[in-house]
Amino acid sequence: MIIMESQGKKTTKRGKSVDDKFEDFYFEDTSYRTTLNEKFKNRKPWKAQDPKLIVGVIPGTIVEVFVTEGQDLKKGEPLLILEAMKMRNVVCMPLDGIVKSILVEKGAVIPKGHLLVEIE
Amino acid sequence: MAANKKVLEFKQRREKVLQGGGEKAIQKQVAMGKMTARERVLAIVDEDSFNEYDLFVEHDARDFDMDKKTLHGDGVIIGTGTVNGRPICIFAQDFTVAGGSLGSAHARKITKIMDHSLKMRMPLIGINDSGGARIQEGVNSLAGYGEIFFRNTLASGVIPQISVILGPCAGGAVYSPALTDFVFVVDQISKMFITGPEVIKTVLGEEISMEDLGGARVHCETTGNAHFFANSEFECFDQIKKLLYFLPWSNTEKSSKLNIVQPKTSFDITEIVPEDARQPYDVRDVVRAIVDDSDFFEVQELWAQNMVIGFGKLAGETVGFVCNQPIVLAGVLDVDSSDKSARFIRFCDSFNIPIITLVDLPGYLPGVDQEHAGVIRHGAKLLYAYSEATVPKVTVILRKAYGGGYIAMNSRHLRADFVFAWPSAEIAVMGPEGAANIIFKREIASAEDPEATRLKMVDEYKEKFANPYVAASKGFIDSVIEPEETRKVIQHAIEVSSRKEISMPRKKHGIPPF
Repeated sequence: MIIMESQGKKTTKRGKSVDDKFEDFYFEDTSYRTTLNEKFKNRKPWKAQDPKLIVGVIPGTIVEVFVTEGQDLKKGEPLLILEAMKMRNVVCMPLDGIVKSILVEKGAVIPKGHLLVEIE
Repeated sequence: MAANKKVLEFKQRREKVLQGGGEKAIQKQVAMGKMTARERVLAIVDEDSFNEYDLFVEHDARDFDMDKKTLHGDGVIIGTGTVNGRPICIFAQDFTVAGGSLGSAHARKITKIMDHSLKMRMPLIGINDSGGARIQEGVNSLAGYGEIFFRNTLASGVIPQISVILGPCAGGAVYSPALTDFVFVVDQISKMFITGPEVIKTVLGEEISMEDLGGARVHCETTGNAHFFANSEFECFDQIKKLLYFLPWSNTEKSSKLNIVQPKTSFDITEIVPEDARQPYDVRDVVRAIVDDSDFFEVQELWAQNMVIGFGKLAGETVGFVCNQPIVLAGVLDVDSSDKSARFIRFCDSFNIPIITLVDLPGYLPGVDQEHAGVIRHGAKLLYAYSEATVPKVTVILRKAYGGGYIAMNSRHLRADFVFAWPSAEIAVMGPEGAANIIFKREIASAEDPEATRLKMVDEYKEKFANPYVAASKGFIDSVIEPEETRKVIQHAIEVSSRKEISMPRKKHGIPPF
């Protein structure tokens, strides 16, 4: 975080000079000299969601896996149970397909967005 | 003599209660680097001004052997005193007594002093240092929190409410500070969260330290929940006193008028802003060149730094500043900066503080993350807050005022009372480069030398539109002023609008895009 001192003397909280900290920021075909904050620098590039990659929408524990790799399944059939916040969430097939790989096992504690099952 | 005996007994009783949780607990508190609740109160109020109430209040819980436990003052100190010579109400949770936990007697003490502050129209300062609900009291403690939240809401916009987080403040307890106007935190001491690291770990498997989850820095830089960051409790208390010096005591009063002090000559307003609209500068220096004694008190200095908000005195009276900050993200509007400034505008409007807006921005920040975070809804808060505000509203356009950003930053169209522009102002639908590329797209593409044509078109556009005169010709800007006139012109504008009266349509309340 940048703290600017008055009278044009520019220092960060850690005492480093920020004169060389200005970067180009493009906005409507114009480049502005400015600083970029952490939130802007750390923003994640957007990616379209692949329906064939089934990810956990909430962090939790895998308490049951119903299927095995290579199994041919219909849309809506249960794949596994992800327990989170004391609720057992049944994760189902989003479309008809074959289970290509299962990336979690019973008992695994997973973070949000973790890849659970890949289908084809 | 009998009377003396009674006085003596009273003194002994009082002495005992004043010990709080006792020597051992106090040593623990000190070992954590914290002051005791009473030390804190006495450090905030003026010397010899504190009057304590409900010293002898005791809980009446009976379950879990609680009937055998005496908790001095039930873990909270309440009272009245003065700050800068003016009366305030204050409560301080005492962590040395049962971890400052909140039971029904504890909550009743807090709500008593809250009722006083609302009834008698004086600011409320609440010091939070508590382990949370007193589990042994069950639903009684939940009821206590609810009563506090209700009063925070009732008092909102009537008296200034200040929360000071000097220890843990977890679970439901966080919502009282969240409902108040200003939250003060101290590095390494303040901890605020809904669910702590242990619960997060067991339920979700995520590991995080208390400091990283809800420490002072996180709430000042990332969440925006806190407004003032201090390195020590004493620094924090100085910040509180400084803030109170700018505030009126209630929504029916004005802030106290002080002697006029000219800005320091070291802030030369003609030197701060570069002519080239693409070059940065610190807008706070412009504010310092305008306010009395160059004393600008910034609010939420570390969060959403692309917008600067804060208080200053102008001709002895408090004004609120809302400014784009070109030194961070070129001063764009985004989700956080809209949130930050909208809330500040509503505070100023509630407490009769005129709003001065300094404009220099290229527009709203583009990006999927912004759109998906709801920049439409959040950005609308800023429009709402400005449109709704009936205090004197003065705008000065320093350089760029493009597109939606021009409208949002207290334009004439949202009922600014006075809009001024420097000769360097550019009021346009977008920057010259972007505009020329769109308007003259065909000419540029079909030209023999597209780049030369493009530059020519950009120049042409700049010449015609990148100035304050088009907007001035339509009366959207009242005057074009020289930078060195800024303070004088704003001061005059605020003086002439001091009896401003606006009647709004009758309604119960509006529905801002929360």
